[in-house]
Amino acid sequence: MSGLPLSWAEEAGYVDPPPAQVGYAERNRLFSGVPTSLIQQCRYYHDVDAEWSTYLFPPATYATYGSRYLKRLRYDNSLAALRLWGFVMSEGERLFRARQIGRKLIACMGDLGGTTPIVQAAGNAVAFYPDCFWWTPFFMESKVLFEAAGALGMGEECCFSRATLGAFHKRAYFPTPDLCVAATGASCDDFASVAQLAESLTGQAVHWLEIPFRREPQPWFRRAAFRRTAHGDAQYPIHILPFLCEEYARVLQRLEEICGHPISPHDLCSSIVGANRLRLTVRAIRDLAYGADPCPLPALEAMHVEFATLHGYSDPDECRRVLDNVLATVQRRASNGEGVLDRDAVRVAWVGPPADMRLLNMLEELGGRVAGTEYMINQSLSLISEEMEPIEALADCFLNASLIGSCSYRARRVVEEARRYGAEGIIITGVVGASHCVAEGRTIAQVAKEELGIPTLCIDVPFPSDVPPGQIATRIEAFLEVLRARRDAHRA
Amino acid sequence: MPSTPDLLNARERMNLLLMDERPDRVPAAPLITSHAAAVSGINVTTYCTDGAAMGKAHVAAYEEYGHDLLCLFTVVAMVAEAMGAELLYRDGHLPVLQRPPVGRDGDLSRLRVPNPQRDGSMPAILEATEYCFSRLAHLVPVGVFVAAPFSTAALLRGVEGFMEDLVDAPQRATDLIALATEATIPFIDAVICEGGLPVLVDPLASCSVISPVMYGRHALPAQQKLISHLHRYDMDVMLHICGRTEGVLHLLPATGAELISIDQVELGAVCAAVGDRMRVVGNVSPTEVMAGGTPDEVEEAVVRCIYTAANAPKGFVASTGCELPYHTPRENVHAFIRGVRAAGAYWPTARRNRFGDGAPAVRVE
Amino acid sequence: MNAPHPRVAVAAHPNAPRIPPASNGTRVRSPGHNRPIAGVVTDTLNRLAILLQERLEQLASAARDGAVIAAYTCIHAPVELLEACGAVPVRLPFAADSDAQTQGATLLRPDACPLCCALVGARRRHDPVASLATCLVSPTTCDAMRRAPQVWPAEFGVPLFQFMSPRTWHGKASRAAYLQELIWLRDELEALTCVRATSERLAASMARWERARASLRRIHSLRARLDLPVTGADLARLAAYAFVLDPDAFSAEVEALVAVLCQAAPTAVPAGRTVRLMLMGSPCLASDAWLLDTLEADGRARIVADALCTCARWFHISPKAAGSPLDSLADAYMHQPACAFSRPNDRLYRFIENQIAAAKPHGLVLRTLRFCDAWALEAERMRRSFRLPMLYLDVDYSQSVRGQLATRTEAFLEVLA
Repeated sequence: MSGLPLSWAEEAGYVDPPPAQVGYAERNRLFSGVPTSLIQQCRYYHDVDAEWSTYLFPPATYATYGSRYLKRLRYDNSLAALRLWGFVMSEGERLFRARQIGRKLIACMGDLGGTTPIVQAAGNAVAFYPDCFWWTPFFMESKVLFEAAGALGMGEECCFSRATLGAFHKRAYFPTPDLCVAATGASCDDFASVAQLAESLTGQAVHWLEIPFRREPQPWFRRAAFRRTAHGDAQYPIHILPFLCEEYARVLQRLEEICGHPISPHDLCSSIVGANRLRLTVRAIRDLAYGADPCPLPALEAMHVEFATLHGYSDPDECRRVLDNVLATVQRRASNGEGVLDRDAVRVAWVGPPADMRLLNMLEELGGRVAGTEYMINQSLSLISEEMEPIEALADCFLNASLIGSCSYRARRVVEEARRYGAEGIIITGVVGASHCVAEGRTIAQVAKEELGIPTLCIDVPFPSDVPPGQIATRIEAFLEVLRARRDAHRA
Repeated sequence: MPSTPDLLNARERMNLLLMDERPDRVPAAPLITSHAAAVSGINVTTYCTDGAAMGKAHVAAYEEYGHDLLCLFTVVAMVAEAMGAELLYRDGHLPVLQRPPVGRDGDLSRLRVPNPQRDGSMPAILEATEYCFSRLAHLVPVGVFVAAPFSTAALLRGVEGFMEDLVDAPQRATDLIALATEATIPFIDAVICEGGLPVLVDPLASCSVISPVMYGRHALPAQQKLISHLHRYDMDVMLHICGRTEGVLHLLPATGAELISIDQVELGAVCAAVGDRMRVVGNVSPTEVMAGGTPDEVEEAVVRCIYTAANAPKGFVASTGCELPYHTPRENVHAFIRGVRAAGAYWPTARRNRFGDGAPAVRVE
Repeated sequence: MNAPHPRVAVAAHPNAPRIPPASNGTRVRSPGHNRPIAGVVTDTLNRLAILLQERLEQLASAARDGAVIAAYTCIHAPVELLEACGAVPVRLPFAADSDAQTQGATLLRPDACPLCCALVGARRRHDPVASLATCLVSPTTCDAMRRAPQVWPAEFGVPLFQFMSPRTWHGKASRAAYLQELIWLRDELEALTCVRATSERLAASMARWERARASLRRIHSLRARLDLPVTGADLARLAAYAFVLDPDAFSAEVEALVAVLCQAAPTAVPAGRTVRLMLMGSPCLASDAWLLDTLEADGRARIVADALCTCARWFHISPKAAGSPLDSLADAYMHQPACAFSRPNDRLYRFIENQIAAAKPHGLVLRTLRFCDAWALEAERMRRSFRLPMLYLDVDYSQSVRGQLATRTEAFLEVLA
């Protein structure tokens, strides 16, 4: 035994079964053994303690309320993972409840974790990412949101981000935000277009936040002066930091108007400390999930963990508790030498959050495992300086983002991840029509080949009902075969 | 699929209601159960025994009417049958209880806790649930009506005998209800696993059959237990009690159900009594109005319901007092939906329009 | 840095640029115009084509002698600054076709916008204009155009100077950041050319380019009031030359044209004779003039206004001479008629509304390049905002779309007529 203290579940009399990935039916069956006391303990918005604030429910609950895709997925069988799933899946309702209990709802679009500490510093505001509703059509196996977006001019030639416009239009997936802080500039044009149309066609109040382009040093530059970020390895032109600080200051000012009270530097510092705590936990989980052998946490749950850094799924306090559970579980498994996948699973670095989450399951079913990721949210994994003035600290941290710089910077980040976790190959998932995918795949593949000598597979993820089943699985399977053959040859 | 001007679909509408939000309009959920068989042109026996046919019937009904809740249901005796009760199946008729398995001796040993995948018509209902879920659950909630333990117990014993037991041998009645509760739980678990939303139906608990005292002593605890179990899954539970319920209105919130579906009771009284704690569902007459009336009369009746109940604090779902008869004229069901759309709007017209034409096109600075 | 690709003799290249004027059969024939006046426009275009050939040869020679030819990708790059730094600015891509698009897509993605593909493909297949570039100056505009130029250093060994052109325009910080970026760009180009962009040089350059734009504005405003034998396609062709030619040489030609046209004492535009159209959307290159010819074929329609960055939006940029030239330049470029990607892009709508009010078109034509989300996603909003019949064309550079477009155009014009 590892000598670790009893988990919160064990204290209530619940013991996790031996680690495994299980299907939908088994995941629901395991739920029947969860004591009601644990269900009652897991609540969001703890300070409110309302009847509706529980979320520890099995996938069947969320499937019954429309998330049909859950039936097809495979799950980690730990209680911590169940809690994570419930917390993630309950976010939609959580946003409505936030409005009902008088919190201000601030949609942050496109900046992927930069402004949420500012929002969370307000105390009476909840930050969320409408961007994440691009997964809703997949969860629901439904094109309803795409159709709604099509009626407003975002048709099939656009990537799946258009689901977010559909959600703004329908107002049934999240309440109309009090404000939408929409990133533009070096962010994602698709989401900027969504915000523009939401502003123009649905009357959504939008505050535009310009993200500066991070130009990196080049051999032919002779006059440029650069500075390195406090935590991270990005270099940026010195003058863009004050620019981004000014942009954040404008966001702060607007938030103060919306929330009706000042947000002090002390509030910001506290929020930064909270964000860093969350980020440290996520980093610890990532390291084990992608590095330990055997794999102690499947990739789908690991992806949910990573995205928690953006905004804590609209309740950062409870999010920290959820992730602490996950970390404890993963640490216990790692120290006991237990995992959910085979020891010799082929290691693959994954680039781009897959729109179709089932692809992560698929990789694992076919004998692979995720060893490193680049989900375009790396800036929300970097720690925010607690020594600098808070706005400057937030700006400096955000300037690590891979989305705001060059393709080659992102490629180097991918290679670092692959190297760190021993990836034998790289899978890049993109979406047809996604504005930022234009040149990156080729660059990443080139750099990976030059620096690590590993191959890359690029997949454009279709909507599941649009392609024959098995088409993508065949490609992943073939890729894994190649990687296995290379491994065998190397060992020989 | 009927063309709809609605911005929201049924799934979105009901989800908002269940989160204490005002949806675009009052949901329209007439209790279309075996009437779905008529829409798809199959007889009730096939409907009750063939899961795929039941599923197809409800899909066909949804495509015909565009209502806001699927109502998968055969007969109240469905749990009793799975536990060992014998039903009589005759072509063109809903099955009826032929031989209750528990006699005057109260011997429960012949009863079994059913396996939902094998016993009675449970497998067919689960198959129909899966069928509807896989095709429609993104558009409309799939409600699955399940007999509550009190009604199941009554059918296991025979209604008359059970009524006698309630007075003369209450412990026997209590034991039978407990066993019925135990037997129902695996089935509702299976329904939830298939993606269905269990709706409890307890007709024999109504004031048309028993006194409020008996209700409080026997039916209510069983409902509470089952609803408490459903709350472990965060299910929003609809409790349907047909017949009269005015004598037990004050007890209904104690069941824990989130929605109360009523029949022969004044709608305004229900809203006044429980509307701040439960969502009220009902209650156009299924026989006199829906089956026997004209489309204009149907529309008038549903509009009256809406005017009475649309502003109930926890929300209102326009429905029928009980399930629609098989032969209900289709134009009447259409009239019901039409009436709800005409009178039941919560959002202003521009906002309800799916193309958003009412929204400002360009922001004026 | 890789060795630059070999230069190809300009005149001999199969893709040697030229913007052929429309054949006489498709030109607008206004009653009352005698043939010599109608021919003046064709003559001007022919002379500009010759000037272009000469220009390309001069630039090729100058590049061999070490001159810096600064290709730029968007009108958010201030040509005045590039020139003041001693570089020769040329806008890319000058022209595009399906081959350039296909070649570029091999280095990008098949769903990359055709313009981005053409930017890369033109260099890949040694197009004369693209081949001249010794450096590439690219303001960050849309996502695709932010990334596509990054291929140039890696694939072609051409240094890239990418700078932030803010999308937002209403904050002081955006303007300050843009100025900082221009200062950086100036400093880098000065290092490259060894020429200091003094205030005097910059002011002189601003005057030259303002003259070029003013000459086009003049024709534009005259067209709105007078019955000139200058079609919308002609105007677009004229504007395309401005992006490559020496501005003084260009201005001289266009001013001479204006003088001749005014001498002919044109009358006011007769009402109701032809359908009046406004054109907007993705950049319309020199090689896209065929679409405008199609719209205006046989005099059935006339493009009376546009919101293209290759035409009206470019020549409406007008830096003021007062104060610091660099500050004036930054202000003018920050507040130029907005592109669809600016946020919010209401200024674009106001520009279009003003154009509609002035030119009174009967209908709108929105032409977008496939996967050009910035414009394509505005289609529905434009339809609702302007409440004029709108023809929406989503195209790429393949020849195969032309027949279909012609049919759709014809149908649209019939409706308007």
